[in-house]
Amino acid sequence: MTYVAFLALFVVPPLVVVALLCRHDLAHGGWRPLAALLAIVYATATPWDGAAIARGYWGFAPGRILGARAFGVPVEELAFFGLWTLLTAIWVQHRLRSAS
Amino acid sequence: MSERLSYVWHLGAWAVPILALQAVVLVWVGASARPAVVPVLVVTAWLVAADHVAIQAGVWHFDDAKLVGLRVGAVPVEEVLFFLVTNALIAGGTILLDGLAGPGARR
Repeated sequence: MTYVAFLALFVVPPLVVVALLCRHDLAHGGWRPLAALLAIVYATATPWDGAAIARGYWGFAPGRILGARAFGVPVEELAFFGLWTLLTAIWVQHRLRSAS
Repeated sequence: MSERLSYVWHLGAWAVPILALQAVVLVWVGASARPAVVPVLVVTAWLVAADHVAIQAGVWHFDDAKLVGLRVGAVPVEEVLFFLVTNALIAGGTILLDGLAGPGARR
């Protein structure tokens, strides 16, 4: 299994389901706080992950990743951060807005 | 510091101050974190299960010398904590930012 396959199997499908179920929130301004959250996540998580990879806490099988990196972090990992953030955040936002 | 605490220390030093700050602000503005509980727990459980598959398949790996040594299936306990804590950060950030956006953003 490649990292791209991991994303396609385990991360994209639940995100698509949650985004479809919560599309009303996204269409009504919900994307704004999510965009701000994504900016914060990338600014904080990218150097953190890059440092852990540089120190050898974890690593990736060369044949399982595309090879492109930013700040030492494979592009698939960066995609994982964003997709996962959206998965949790869209769901939480929907529950917030349903409760209020 | 024991090398085996490397990952857990790396996680804690990053996440605990931000979580604490979020918690203070959430209490300060009187926001409830209750709507976040189910998404945080469900997404964490899902990602731990997916992580187990990815580790077994050899997509990524850990340096055992830098881990406490406890595992849930193939998943290091640090990784379980990482998913839980980071999901809490995402949820806390969502509550605060959605509150900042205000009712005007919901039309």
